[in-house]
Amino acid sequence: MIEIISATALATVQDAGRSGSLGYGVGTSGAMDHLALAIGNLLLGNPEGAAAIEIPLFPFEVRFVQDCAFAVTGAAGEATLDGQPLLPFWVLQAREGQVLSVGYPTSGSRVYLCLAGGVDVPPVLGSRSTQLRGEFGGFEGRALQQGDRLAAARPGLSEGPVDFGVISPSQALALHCDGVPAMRVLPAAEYECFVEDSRNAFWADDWKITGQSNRYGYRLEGTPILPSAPMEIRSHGIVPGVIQVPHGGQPIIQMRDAQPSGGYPKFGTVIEADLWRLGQAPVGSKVRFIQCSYPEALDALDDNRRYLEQVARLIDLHRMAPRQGH
Amino acid sequence: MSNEEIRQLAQWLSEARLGGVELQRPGMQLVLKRHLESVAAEESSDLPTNANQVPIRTCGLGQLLLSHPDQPQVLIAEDNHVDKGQIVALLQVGELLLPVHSPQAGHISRVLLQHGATVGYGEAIMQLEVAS
Amino acid sequence: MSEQPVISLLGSSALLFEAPGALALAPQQHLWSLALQVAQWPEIDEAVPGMNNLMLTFRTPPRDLAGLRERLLQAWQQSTPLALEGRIIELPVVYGGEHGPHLQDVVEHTGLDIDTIAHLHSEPLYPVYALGSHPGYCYLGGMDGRLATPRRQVPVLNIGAGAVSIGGVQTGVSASAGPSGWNTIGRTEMAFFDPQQNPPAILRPGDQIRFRIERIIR
Repeated sequence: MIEIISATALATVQDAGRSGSLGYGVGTSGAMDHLALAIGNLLLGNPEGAAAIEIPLFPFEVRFVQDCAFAVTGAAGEATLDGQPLLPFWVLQAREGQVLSVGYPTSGSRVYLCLAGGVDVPPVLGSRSTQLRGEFGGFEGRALQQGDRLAAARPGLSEGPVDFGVISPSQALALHCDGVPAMRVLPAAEYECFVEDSRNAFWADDWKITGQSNRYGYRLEGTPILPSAPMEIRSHGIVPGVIQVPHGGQPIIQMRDAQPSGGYPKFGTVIEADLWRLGQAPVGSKVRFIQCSYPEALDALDDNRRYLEQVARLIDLHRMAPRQGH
Repeated sequence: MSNEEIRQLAQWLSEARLGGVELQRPGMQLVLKRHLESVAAEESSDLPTNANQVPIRTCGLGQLLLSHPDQPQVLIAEDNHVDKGQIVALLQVGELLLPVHSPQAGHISRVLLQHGATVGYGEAIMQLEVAS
Repeated sequence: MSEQPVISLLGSSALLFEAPGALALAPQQHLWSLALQVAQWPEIDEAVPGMNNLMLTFRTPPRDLAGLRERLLQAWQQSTPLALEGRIIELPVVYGGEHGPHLQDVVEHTGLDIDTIAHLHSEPLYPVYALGSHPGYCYLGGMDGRLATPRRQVPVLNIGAGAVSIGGVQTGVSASAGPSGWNTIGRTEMAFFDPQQNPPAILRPGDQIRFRIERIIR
């Protein structure tokens, strides 16, 4: 069990997401960087999609009320346990009373605190992700506050190895365009309905992630994307990654807490395999978009899967190795 | 060393994409080579026998990293003070990163190998000067 | 409007199937039928109806996309509309006042006065076409075309639960507080969603809503 000891906002319990309830108007929620979540869980021997705490604002401090193994993944920054620096994408054993402090990241934007066995909150509609609009799921359906206590499903001393880490997704799956982090996008239904100059600018320009960007959506700033003619779109289901272009031409990328349906013209969709890159793009940073095809999008999913499987396999080998004392 | 441990060692070699390893223990010598040109394990360089100088050794094989791939700064540099147990380097085996801890408190007097060097079991990577 | 359904990709996560023709109940019933069938396909996670469209989320995105499109078109051609038997739910609405902040915008766009808007809005029986937007929210068909008012250029950051709104040619009621790009003309009291119930949404496709004028604040 841990206790939140810093004043905090916007930190939520998230797992891999809530599927199967789109038909009730319930979006998926889930971790903005699902790879960081998966790695943290694999390091702890948890199911890959177990719930963790997503931390978007810093500093963030917790005290371990019980012995518990934990992993800190995602954005690399100043993380310490009782003042001792913690390496990125690392698993460690915490003892009762120790304080974990997560400071501002030097790269990336979201940090994941994973606990042994996963964060133990009741699943709602099949998931432990926080559904903020509906005020359910996660920890009491809301963002975490100072004083909140969260249980781990497997507290105590870790049976598996601790004090090791893995090569991060940013290293293993790096993608840049002209030195700027890039994401692949598949054109959507209304793509051809935007003027050609706008379409070309979308692929050629850097886009800035503005301050009005969060789990609901990322508002981008750049050359306005203009339609050839006004469009009224019927409401339809959407998924995280859909790039909507409202009046004014500044695109909004729907993210994990977006409405699961929308009626604005769609330019394209950031592919599922690259959503984690967006999840780690800090406010104020620039990104680029790369046009890709459906088969390429599936290949990208395969690349992610291969990386996770490789990591899982090495961690298993490490578990089996006769333990050496430190 | 059991057959299971040898099998596991061979698997580690394959994951780490290393050519081979030589191990010497009392009463045993083990040489493992892959179907690549064999890579001889490095001989330990001559180290001073000064009682205050303690070698920091690896407890595994892999690629030596002097900084974490996600961080710009080195973990430790020559003349830096280290606490007992402090991580001074990392061993990369495939995507895995294993810590090399300082066995005692002291100062790093020498960094013996370069970032990226292939290292074997029990290889000295740094020299630690301990208080007498 | 094109004759054939339009099938497009939502990244590699989902397919969007848009029925041809004018927005109407018959194609929606046809889509409910298609959804039931397609939801059984192994590569599909969920079949989510929208306004005369269907989003199919992938469990595992299929490599053979062309094959899936073919099967989908065939299933559409071979399926028959499903008239879902639902309940009629009546919602009392207070039109205008502080909970109808955009009623004046609708007046200006449509050229109708407040009373006419309230009466035209509360006249029909609205079929629930689909759920979406947020937990328990119902997309309704059957709004009188004279009330159509485009979505707002600047969405409102927070509109309360029970907000009765018009967006383009559609109308709906918000089930919880949150942002909205629609024109809010009134308010009703109703619990639309309980995550502990099964199913958690109180209303479902096939139900019908009638708005009853409780009060008009001019």
